[in-house]
Amino acid sequence: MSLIEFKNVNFIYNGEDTESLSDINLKINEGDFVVVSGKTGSGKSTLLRLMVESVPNYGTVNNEILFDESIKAEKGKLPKVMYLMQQIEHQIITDKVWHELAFCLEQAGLSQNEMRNRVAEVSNFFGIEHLYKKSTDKLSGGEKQLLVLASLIAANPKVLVLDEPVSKLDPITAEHFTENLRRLHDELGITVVVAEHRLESLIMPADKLVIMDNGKILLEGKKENVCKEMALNKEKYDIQAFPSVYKKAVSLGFKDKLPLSVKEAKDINLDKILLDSLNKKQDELLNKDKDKEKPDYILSLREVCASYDKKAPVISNLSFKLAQGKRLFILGGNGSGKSTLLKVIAGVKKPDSGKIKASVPVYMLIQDVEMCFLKNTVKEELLSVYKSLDDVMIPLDFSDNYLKRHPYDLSGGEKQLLALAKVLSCAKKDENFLLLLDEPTKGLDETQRENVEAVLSLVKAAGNSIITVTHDLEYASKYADYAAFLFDKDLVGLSKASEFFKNNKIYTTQLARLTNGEIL
Amino acid sequence: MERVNPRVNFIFFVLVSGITMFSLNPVILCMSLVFSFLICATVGMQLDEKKMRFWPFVPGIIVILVNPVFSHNGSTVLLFIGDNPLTLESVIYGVVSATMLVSVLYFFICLSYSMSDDKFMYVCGFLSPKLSLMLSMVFRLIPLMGRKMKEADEAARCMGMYKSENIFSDIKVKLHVFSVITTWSLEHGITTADSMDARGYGRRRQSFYSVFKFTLRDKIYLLLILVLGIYVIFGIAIHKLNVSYYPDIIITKPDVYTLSLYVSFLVLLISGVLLNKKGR
Repeated sequence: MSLIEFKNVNFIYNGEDTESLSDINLKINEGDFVVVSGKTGSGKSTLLRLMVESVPNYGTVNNEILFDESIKAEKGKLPKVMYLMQQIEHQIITDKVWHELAFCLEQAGLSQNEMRNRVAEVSNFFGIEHLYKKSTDKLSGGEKQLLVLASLIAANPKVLVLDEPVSKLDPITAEHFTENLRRLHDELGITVVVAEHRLESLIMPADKLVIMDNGKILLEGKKENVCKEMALNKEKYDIQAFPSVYKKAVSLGFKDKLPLSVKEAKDINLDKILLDSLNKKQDELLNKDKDKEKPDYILSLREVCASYDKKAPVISNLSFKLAQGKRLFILGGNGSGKSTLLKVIAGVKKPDSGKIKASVPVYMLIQDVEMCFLKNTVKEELLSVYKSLDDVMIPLDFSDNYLKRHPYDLSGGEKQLLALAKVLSCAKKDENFLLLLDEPTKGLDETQRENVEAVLSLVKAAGNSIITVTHDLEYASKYADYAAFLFDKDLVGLSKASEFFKNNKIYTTQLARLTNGEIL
Repeated sequence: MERVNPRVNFIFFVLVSGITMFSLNPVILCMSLVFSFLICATVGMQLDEKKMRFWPFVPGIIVILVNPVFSHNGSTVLLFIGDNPLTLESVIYGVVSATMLVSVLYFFICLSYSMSDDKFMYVCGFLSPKLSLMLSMVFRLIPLMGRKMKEADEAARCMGMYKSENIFSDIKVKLHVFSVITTWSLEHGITTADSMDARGYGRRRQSFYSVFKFTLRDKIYLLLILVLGIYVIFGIAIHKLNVSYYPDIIITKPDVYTLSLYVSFLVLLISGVLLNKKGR
């Protein structure tokens, strides 16, 4: 018996005329670990929300969604299907970690003793005891995500539905979160349904894959079968979301035993094949990198220190220079001070000591781009900074449907583009400028990333420099001129991007790990 | 570790500030002043960085100065300022009310020192779990909004919106920031409501989780302060501690019973010092 069953389900949001989901047939069985993959806007989130009876879905469902007796929502009982939403910040309800952990239990009206017991159990299971008395506001993104997960598990659910839980986390934290999901599935037997558009970390524990596009399920089944099917018909399906070793293997024509991790790639000798093909090209590459002009430096930092609290500096004695028309990527873990460094360069935060010299104006797009929006529609938003829509330099989708939407209802990539358009409107009067971006690809899928990148390459082509802070390694390896690692309050290993990713053994792309840095 | 359950502590402060406020007895007030200052110092010292505060003396001094100017009651005239008499009684009454004011203010400072957000919530949870949940959400929202406000301000700054041409353009940017935050908080509200729904909010009568324990020692303390407090309040209620200041100062002659009231209040205050001293 399956726990949740969709039978030819169609779904329309209130006030829209096109179906957001059509002909959905899907069974979620007990003990499954299902990963739903697809681009942003493919209907993943809508599908997931329909699996959760306890939240309103703001639309009309045609045909049936069957829930098993054991997980049906009942009055006076806690829901058996628990739901982790996309917005990390908004879904935390209370101010203290212990209160958040106990929230569900309070709703169930449990006694003090029972509650203490459950809270102790889950904080132990997830290893978050040290956070118990902290304010939820003081936690990092990864800790917040783990806290919400723990608080859901305290309610003893049978099914866990998670909407893009790791797309906004840095790779190490994402790995940690995925590991916790795997433990929930393996050790507690919880059925897990996850939607995610980048599968690198989540594909390993999954046993079932659902591929969605345009509100329909394209492909569904056991992980191995789906991977194979997609490799066989690579023209028909979009494999952007998959790990890069898989993509490489598919492009090399592998049909069987497709690798999903570095280890599996080594098992089928993908590294040797890749290195062999490389040797032939080696000679061409040698002649390439030989520009030895003296560059114009537009930005130089000398021994800059910055802190929020005098006792604990965030950046200390940091120096570097950036040439005109170059792109620097700054990588580093959560809380390593990357954002602070950008704020110092942008002049929003005063450094404690040291000198910053910028010969061009500096503009920055902060991480939470929603903070730039204040109008009710995209059109008003654009017209608040541009004289007319023709002045917008960025290739946006200027259809009516897009222009009349509320900026908050846009997808992550569209929000990023709109915010970029706003920032660039301020910068257009300057000849050259320096653009600072704080994790512009956070939570974006491959297609959206490319859209943002198209705009950025225009900016760069006009002779402007860009500094990007990110933990998206594949992205950095593709577009960086220079890369550096922010560690222990200082920039480490600042060098040409190709050397940087070659020299790094762990903090580098999957393919570089496989081929010891020969291929990025 | 905390020495005492926050609810017991709360009741202590309600009792002592109540007694201080409703008796104008100089003995009681002197004790209150000394001990409120003492407790404030002990509590304040345990919280690092917090220095002893002396500002409550400012309104105190103002009361001392102002009372004789406006109140001309009393039979003993000291001197005339213009046509208005300055009486001994009104001066003394001013000092007495100032003492009352200063000690109550110090008790409140102590209360705010020893009641962190979660303790305050715990005290309210005793009244209603719903109220305490609401408080908890407010306590979460306020710092969050403050942070977002700063972010929106930085975003505006980074986009070069502060041109500082004149004060009006700056005000315009501030309004912009405010409007960004309004939109953001509406969005936040909707999502949080969904999150609460998803976690089973409102399915049943709520219970209240607390990180604090009610130990045997707490029970003994509670019993002690309640007995002492009510004994003193009873004494005030039957006018045993009455002092009248106008037109003449009349203090009821102290007998064994009033003495016992003084001693009880003293013991109550001493227990307060012990309550608020951290253990170990």
